[in-house]
Amino acid sequence: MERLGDDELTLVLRGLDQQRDRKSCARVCRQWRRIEALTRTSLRVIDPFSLPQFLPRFPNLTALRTDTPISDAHLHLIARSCPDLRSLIFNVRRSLTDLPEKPQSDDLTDTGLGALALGCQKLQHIALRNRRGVGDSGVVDLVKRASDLSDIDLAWCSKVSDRAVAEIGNLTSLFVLCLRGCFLVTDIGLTHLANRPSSRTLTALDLSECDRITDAGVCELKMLPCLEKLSLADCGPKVTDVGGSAIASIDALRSLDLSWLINLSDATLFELSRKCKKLEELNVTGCELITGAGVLAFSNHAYMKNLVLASCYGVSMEDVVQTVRASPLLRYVGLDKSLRGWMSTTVQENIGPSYEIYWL
Amino acid sequence: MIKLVSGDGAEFEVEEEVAFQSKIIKDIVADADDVIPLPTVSSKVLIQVIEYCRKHAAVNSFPLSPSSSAAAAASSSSSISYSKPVSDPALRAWDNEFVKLNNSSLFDIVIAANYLDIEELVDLVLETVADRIKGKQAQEIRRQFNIENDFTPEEEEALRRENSWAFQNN
Repeated sequence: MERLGDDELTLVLRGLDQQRDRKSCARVCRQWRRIEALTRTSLRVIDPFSLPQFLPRFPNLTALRTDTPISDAHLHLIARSCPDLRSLIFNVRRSLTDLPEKPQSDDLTDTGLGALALGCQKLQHIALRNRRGVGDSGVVDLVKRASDLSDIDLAWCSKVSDRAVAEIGNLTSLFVLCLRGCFLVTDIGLTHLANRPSSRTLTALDLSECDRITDAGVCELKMLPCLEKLSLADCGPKVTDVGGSAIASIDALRSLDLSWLINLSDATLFELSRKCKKLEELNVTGCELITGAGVLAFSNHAYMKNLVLASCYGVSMEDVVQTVRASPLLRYVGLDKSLRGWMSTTVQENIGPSYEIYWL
Repeated sequence: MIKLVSGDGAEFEVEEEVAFQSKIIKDIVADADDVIPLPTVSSKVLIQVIEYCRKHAAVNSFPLSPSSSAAAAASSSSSISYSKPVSDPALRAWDNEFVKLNNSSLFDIVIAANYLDIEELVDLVLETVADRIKGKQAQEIRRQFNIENDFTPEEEEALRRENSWAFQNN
């Protein structure tokens, strides 16, 4: 019998996607190990220290994932070994980087990101949650080289500021941007984002915990015509009804998180219910100024499905019940546990089986 | 008619539409001879490949009935199809019988079909081979395909460790 050549074995192994099957194939013989590695497209690294031993065998990876600290030297190696990477998911758990007694001095920095930018210019999706070593110059390098980036997650990369955001604004096919907890970002960054090429494509933007931004920056977001999903949760007291009313002019909005904006009131809800006809999800947890009048504005709203009203002390049970009954699609309402006693069993039953109240 | 000559010197006369199931032969005929030597394909394998091509040429050249061509037009307008799956259930059943071969014959056919660039046959055999790998341990795969284990014990140990803690598939 003829032995399968590399070409044929390549074709066979490309058709196998189960991890168990791939592991078995890699252990059959040397040829199979070599071809299995050449045909593998995604890898999750558990122990980065052994990266130099195995990564060079996998030059055709398109997706790489790890959730442990990883050094700049390793990023250099990745940049040299895997030029076809499209997706790099390097989120790290918050607890790992928060412990003061365990400083992440050996974790990646801007230097490593610069190397990665040079080697992996086809990147489309990068996620670096909680990588505290990441700052403006690394992000700028990356965005300049990998111009196809469409999905960027820099949550809690707390050194990232307006300079990086301005550069991100130059991307021409950016769809998703998460800057959660990047508290150095100000209205200046938002102005760049809203007035550069990325403004034409951006569909999801997370600015939660960016507490230096004010109404002026939020007003700029009007310039994002495709924006469907926006979070301004915990953006602080300087975001008021001025900003809230401004974002109501974004027609495309489907999901909006405004939780803990303590200076936001019914005025914003009136505008949202009137103008954002496609809005399906709204979270106003902890917006203490909101009253029943604001919530009732969503009665008869055509698309509203999910309304979260936890810690909205100005909203009564009657307001909620009335809104739910008058809204054709509203199915989920999130409320405080403390309100549960105020809702009699009869009311809960009357509200109908197709509705769901969840208690927070 | 086109004459195919196997590696062991046997000659096979086949109709153009049968031979043209192979893209390579089609290209060769376009700018050369009607006698095509295939030095890397044995007559045993060539007979099987011709049998497959003859069957598929007959089915593919059968004129579409008005209803099925309308359906084909409707489906092609709604979505782009990248490869043409074998949709005819009778042909599908015939294919399933065709690949009831031992591994060594299958390997020979996939090598020949890949060389001759007969896409549908390559896909058919690859799928069959993949099905025989799925769910098996390395040792069983070696036995199934008669492959010699050429790893040193050290290499096996390194692979085992890599697989368990250095990386895994996403």
